[in-house]
Amino acid sequence: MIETATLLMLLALLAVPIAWALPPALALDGVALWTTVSLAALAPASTAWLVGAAVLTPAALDAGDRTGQRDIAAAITASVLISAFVAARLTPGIAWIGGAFFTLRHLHVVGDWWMGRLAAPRLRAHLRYQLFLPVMFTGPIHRIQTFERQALRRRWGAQEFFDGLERSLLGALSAFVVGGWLVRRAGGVLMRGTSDFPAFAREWMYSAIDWVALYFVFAGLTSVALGIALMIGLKLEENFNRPWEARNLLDFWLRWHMSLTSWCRDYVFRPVMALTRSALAGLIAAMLAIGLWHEFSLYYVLWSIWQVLGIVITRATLRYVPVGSCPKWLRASGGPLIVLGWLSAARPVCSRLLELL
Amino acid sequence: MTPLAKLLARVMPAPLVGPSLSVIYAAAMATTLLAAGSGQVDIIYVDVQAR
Repeated sequence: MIETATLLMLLALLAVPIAWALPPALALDGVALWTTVSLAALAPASTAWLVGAAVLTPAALDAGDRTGQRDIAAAITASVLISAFVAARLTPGIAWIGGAFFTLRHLHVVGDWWMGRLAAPRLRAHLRYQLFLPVMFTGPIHRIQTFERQALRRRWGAQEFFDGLERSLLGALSAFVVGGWLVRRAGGVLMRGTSDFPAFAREWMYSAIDWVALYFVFAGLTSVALGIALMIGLKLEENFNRPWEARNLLDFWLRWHMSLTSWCRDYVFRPVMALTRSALAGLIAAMLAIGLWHEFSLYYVLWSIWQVLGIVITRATLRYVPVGSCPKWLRASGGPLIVLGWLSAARPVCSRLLELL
Repeated sequence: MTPLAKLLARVMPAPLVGPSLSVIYAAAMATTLLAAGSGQVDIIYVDVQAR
């Protein structure tokens, strides 16, 4: 049986001929319809919720504008979206595709509307934005403003098409061959020689290998999504900016899954910081949002606190230790190693803390 | 020219770029299909719950 990730990628690829076969004014509507049909065949419950939310959100925001009750409209819409996301996460046995990503996209629309950065979107524009299959299951969490701008500029270009095709192909190679197979095999060989190491060290090493594999898989899948979008004629937001070059943990989180971290910066960190006047409170809230977005568990609460601790230590180090006086080669090689060490240490540390609790 | 073609053009004579690109694309496609079909690939981070 074909694996779901592969099937979704093939279905997303089929959106390309659909987009170019239709008249330009209807191309993205055709992709939205294809997305609905494809997802409905695989996961009817999540598709019903996605389409329902994509239809009702503009109506709710429009009602907020007309009645002058913007706060109430935003609060109700956001609560319903978050509740559905939580309920889906806590309900085992139902097929749910893309919920983590489309919930954040909806909240972005609601948040920007509430803050006055965005007019209530038209139904058709909102459906085209929310129902764009290439980015449904791996992100990025693209913004409606970028999508609309790109949709307006969209026209055929052989250069963009072949750039997108190449990017998709190399992205699939990175995800399936390098991250999904090669790194794990190499990691398995590496771990064979560590049987007499302490359990903590072995777990730490496993975790480091998983982070490397995760990079190739996740960045590869994102490349597939962005490559297909480019083949359709849309240049969407990047998700990675050479995270292996990060000099410290703060720098890493500005380079890794950038669409999620910028989402958390705009809709969690800044509002919490503005409310509490505390950057630390904003950081804790943003990291908890990132952790719990991945999974609702105590493990991810501890994982979030571990990341906060790492960023606090990083900021203190940058403030009090003359890191800039270190040789450039040492910063370039040592920084990424320290970052990988900290990130991968989260697993053995948090698992042991869980055993104590 | 695609980014990979530009990269190849910097390191090899122009007549070799096209054939090299074809070989790389074919190898990439074949290994990806083999890996995807082998069932040994662990694709994480796809937002699919309860597959």
